[in-house]
Amino acid sequence: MGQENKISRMEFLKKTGRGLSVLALGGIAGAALGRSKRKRESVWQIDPDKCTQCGKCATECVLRVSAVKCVHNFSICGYCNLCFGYFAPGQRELNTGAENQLCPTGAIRRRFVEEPYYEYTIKEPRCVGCGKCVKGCTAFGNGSLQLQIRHDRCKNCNECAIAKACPSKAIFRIPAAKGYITKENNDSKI
Amino acid sequence: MKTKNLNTLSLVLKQTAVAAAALFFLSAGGLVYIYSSGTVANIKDSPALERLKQKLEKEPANEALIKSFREVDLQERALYFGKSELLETGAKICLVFLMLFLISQRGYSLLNGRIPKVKKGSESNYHFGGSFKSLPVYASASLTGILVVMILFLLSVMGSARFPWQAEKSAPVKGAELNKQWNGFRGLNGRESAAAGNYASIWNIKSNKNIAWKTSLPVKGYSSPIVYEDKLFITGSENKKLKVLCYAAATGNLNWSSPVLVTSKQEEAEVMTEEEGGAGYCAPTPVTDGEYVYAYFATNKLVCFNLAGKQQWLRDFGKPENIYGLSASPVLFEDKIIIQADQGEEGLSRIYAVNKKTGKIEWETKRPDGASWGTPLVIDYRGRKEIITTTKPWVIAYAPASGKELWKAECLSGEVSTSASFSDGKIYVMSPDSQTSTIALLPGGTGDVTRTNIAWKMQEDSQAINAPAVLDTKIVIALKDNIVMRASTDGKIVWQYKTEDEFWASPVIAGKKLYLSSRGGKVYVLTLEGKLVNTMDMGEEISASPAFQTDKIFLRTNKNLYCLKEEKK
Amino acid sequence: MIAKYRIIVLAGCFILFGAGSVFSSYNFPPPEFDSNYIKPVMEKLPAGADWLSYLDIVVLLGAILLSAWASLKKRSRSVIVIISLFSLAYFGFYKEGCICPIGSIQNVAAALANPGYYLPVSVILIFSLPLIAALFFGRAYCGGACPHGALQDLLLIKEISLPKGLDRSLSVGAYLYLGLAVLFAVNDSGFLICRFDPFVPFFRHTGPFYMFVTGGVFILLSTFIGRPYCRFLCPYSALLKPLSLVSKNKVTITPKECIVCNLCAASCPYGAINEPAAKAPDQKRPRFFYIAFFIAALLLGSVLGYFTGGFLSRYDVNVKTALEIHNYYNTGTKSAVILSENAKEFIRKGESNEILFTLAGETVSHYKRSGIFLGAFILFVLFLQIVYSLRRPKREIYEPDSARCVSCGRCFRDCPIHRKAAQKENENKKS
Repeated sequence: MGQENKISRMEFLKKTGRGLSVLALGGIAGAALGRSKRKRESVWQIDPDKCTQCGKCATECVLRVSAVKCVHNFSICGYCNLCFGYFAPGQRELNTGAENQLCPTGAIRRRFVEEPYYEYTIKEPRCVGCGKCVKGCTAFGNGSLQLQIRHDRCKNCNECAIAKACPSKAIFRIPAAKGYITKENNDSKI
Repeated sequence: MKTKNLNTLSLVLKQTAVAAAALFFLSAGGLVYIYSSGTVANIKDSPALERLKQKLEKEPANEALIKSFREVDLQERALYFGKSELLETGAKICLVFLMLFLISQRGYSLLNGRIPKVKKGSESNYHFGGSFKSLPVYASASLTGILVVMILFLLSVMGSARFPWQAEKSAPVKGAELNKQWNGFRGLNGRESAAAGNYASIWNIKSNKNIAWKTSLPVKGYSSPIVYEDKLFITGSENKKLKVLCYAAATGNLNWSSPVLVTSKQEEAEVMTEEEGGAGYCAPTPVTDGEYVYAYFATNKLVCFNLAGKQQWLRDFGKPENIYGLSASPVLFEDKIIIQADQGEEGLSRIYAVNKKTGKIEWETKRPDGASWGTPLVIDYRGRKEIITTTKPWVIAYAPASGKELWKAECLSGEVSTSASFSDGKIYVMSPDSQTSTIALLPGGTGDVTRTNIAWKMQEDSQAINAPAVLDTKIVIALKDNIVMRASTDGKIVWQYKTEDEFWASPVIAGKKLYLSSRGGKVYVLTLEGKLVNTMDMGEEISASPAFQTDKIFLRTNKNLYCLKEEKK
Repeated sequence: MIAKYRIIVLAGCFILFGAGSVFSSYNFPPPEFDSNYIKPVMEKLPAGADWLSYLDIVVLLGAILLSAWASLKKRSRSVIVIISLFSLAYFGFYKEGCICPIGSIQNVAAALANPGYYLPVSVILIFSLPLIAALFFGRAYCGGACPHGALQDLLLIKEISLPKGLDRSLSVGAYLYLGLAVLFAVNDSGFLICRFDPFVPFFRHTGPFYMFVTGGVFILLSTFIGRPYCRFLCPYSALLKPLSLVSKNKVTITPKECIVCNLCAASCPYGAINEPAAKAPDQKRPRFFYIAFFIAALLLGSVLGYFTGGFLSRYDVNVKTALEIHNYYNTGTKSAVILSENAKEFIRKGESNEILFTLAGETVSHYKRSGIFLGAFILFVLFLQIVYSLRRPKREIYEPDSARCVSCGRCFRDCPIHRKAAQKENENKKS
């Protein structure tokens, strides 16, 4: 009799514990959901207006070669002969010589379009996201070069390591449908 | 048959596992070697390229050098990308071997399940188990508990210290207090702006519109009025007699007028009067801390009165040697009065800190020779206080506590009569030479910062002798015939407003409007966007900046003192 | 027709003026080309769609249920191994370990503490599904669906069994780690669990060097110590353990009755099999002793936690920057100091120091307040640990410890009754 009683008591305790746990879990889930934003924000992006090109994007990403790359907003590019994103400061000649280039990996291609305009395109596989060209272009040019997180490379980490390290807090999540924040379509900012 | 098959399978699995493990370790070792052999992560600042670049800068025309640069550059990039690719494929190969090993090893162990053996002495476990076996567990649990608590305690001790900035927090000045205080030259702490208030932007001396009271001044001088709560102070001279006057701010009644008492031993200094083209006896504006009022005169004397008009102490800094007359206003900083006395005679220029209670000199620091007429400004740049002073050709910063020189910048020329302003992390000074220019300096330096800390320098198209008024990210400069607003970041002109007038008084920002009083006797009220609101003709020249308090403007013209206040409808 | 024209004219005007006003703000106005050059368009590779995360949840649920079925009903180690291989391949190497239930603890904690933090429903599901499953099937998630567990489980080649006391003491680590991770998450200072996860760099085969080092250490350890991360560090196990204590169904070593043959005693590499024991002689301490001990522990924990929180706040980026800025402006040797990017950015922005100090002060006090809970929680765990080590329940058979058992199914094969039953089943199938 006593034995049975004891077992049933254990069972009862367990059942109560189970019920309480379910309630607690439900409560936690409900509270967490209730307090969270309703917007669907699922992919990481850089706000190019806040970015200061500190160079952390290249080093902080969990990927060995960062998911951040330089992208080019052609529509606002000045197609300058003297491109501040392409040429190192104090360059001697405006040609494609390695000694004149700013990009450490030679990832920018310069192509003559028509007098006096030159087109600059980024060979993305070579870009390491150091932001040197962006810094030059933003400081002296139109700012058509910008750094951005590329979704084909981004692992969409639970917590973006660059976002946490970013000194100007320029990295945040946006809805996946919006995809990119570029200087061309800044209306996609929230 | 089946067992044989199984045996062969298990053998194959075992061999595969061993081979895969060996290959895995081999390839992983290779990867580690490649990774540690360098140059993979640092193409961004390759030392070899950096050296060549520096060489190139020295001899830019050296064709051989350029050629070798290009070669090294190509090599470095090839190495970087080659290794990157190698690492990536290597990692994949490693992974494949690892998975192969895991699968075959697991398969082998599943096929070769070992038969368990009966544990020896297990019977005894069953019988006596509980009491003996749990003892080490108990001991270990207690030990863990003690260990963790000790670690927590250690962290607590380390974490109980206050953070350094918490120790030095002082009570901030409240907005309401600010309104009470226009206690010295260019307002509280030389900020040259009043907290938001509703100030009159139109008045008329003929129709008395918006003029609360007007009184004629028995004294003359270029100093500006100051106001503290219900008292307004004026300094001036009457037949070379120096006087401090106190008016009731509400009514304009004269409370007291006290002459500066000088002991007979003190030699009376000769000063070039206003009429002779000098600054006169009373160009410095007094300052008050609410208990005492401190006035400095061109005779190089600092006097302290209490609020009832009784002279407390007098400090004589010696015979002045300044061509137009000393004109730097005293500045109140904590318990000190800062006096900048720049004089023409060799070795006489000084900056003094005088104890405000006793009148004793706490420190004095020698300054470069040559007269100047600007007032020092105490700024708080990220917790460090600096006294910013101007003279030709230096802007010099001192530590207020010790008088030690912190930094200096060589950027001024001409007869430096302008004071510095400070906002948005920059100091603005005017160099009033034949070609006036506005200069923005970064505070916080050490030594000679001429080459490093000048943020920008802009040439103006006419002259100024006053100080810029500051907004958060804009500055306003009142030049002869031109009022200019510049952006603090780069000095670019935001707007300008042309007048045909000359401004001695510094512009003041109050209640989101700009007030400029001119030598031509006009007061210009402008919006912060550079649009004229009103011009009021006061009929006589104005040299002093107005003082602002809550809803009143106190304006000192050559002969009169006005209180301007919007009349209630 | 007219309407159409009007639209075209309006659009033209709009483009002209609109474009003009936009372009005027550029240093070098974008050119109009005479040649037939067409401006390229920036390539924008799309992000993964949101519904994909729900697919993962379905797969997760499937893996958990399959694993539960394999450990409770089918009782087959082989099936569990196959499921865990799949989970390792899918959640580990294909999905690259993110987001997983272990890390989701922090998202939930952050969402609870900071209103306005965005918490997707999928993350809530990923967080709660394994926990709910634990209430009914024990730690089925750990057995088959967790890529971290699967990797360690598969790596175990030759186990050495740790002394029981050491095993129990080390497992306190999981609770400490959970407490710390939640503290950092609610204070918005970073996700510790994700940052120091030992296996994610292997899943991604890329990552920072220190992650590879910790990962390598754990991988080496797990070849001879059973699941070192799961047992001693995994914060999610700290949640699963108490829940699986009250689980409805439990893994049993034997399909029928235990004959106390002790063959299974050494089969568990995780020290999760409880041996039969006689009830200890009654030496009950008075109940008020425990209550007093409990209250004292909580109080001590709160006090220690408060100050420990103050210490831990130094790892917050705001506090770090504030300290740096304060040092920078209060020491004479400015040129010698190398500032962090955060401090440089702060100086560049030119905000008042006071704002930073106030912010840092708020962070510190928030840390201290939440540190109270951390301290109380840690002392509570330690208290339970000691009280549990004193407990000597009567047990007549060999059975898995429901909190520690990860449903790996190793013990099944060692049970003679299980083997007999399996054989019978095989024969039945053949005939």
